[in-house]
Amino acid sequence: MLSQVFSVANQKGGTGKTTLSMNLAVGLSKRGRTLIIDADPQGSAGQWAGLSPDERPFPVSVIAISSNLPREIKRIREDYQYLVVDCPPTLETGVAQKAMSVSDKVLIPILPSPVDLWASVRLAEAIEQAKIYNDDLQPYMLVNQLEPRNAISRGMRQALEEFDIPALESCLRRRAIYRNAALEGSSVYCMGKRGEPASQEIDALIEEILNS
Amino acid sequence: MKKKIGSKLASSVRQAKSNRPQKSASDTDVSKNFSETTVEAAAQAEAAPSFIPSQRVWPD
Repeated sequence: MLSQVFSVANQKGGTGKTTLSMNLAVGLSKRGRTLIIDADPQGSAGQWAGLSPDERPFPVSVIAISSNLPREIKRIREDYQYLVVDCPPTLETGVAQKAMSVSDKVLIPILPSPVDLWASVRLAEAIEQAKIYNDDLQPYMLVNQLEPRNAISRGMRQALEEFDIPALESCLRRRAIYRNAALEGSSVYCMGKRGEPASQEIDALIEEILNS
Repeated sequence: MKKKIGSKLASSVRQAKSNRPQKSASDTDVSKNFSETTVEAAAQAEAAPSFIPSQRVWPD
């Protein structure tokens, strides 16, 4: 099976890595067999799935991998069409770098905030290093929690041009439904009408990354 | 307004880049972070299975 590995990484906490990983994985699971790898010792992805009720389990399996990440990913990737790796919010442990060394694409959620932009400078350097070991790695920045009426949100695209990493056209808006889905151990795809705008933007993101 | 804020943000990113210290040993020692043939990996190869299921592992 020709599989694709997507890492979701940003060394800054609170940028929405787990939220993106969980919803992205559910969207991808509609297109092919998908697995979430929880590479963050905080275990947020596992916790999220664990909140789902027995009668409606989270639709994608979550596996925590604490060591030998590249080897384990190489071992299991043949069994899945898509692997989504939720990376820890640090570069110090080397876990995110190891995930990137065996990923096809790395998605970097970034909040519309100057502090988040500045913090991404170091991540951009880490990605450059990862490309030494993984020539084929395709990194993409993704504006998360966009507020269209906010001036800083609107200025993000210009700011992201300062990085050597392309920014996706797709962006995710700031929506309460993402938090509600987490609280219910679910995804925006399972939140009925309320989740539709969010699931549509995740679908648009998936189309963009699968075709880029 | 959009352009002004965008320019200001872009300028702050350029400043953050130029303020980055020269790469430290930990930054440049990429082999430590990327190599799969480290002593750590060799030791882990003999260790217990590295898959740790999360609280629940859902069947597909």
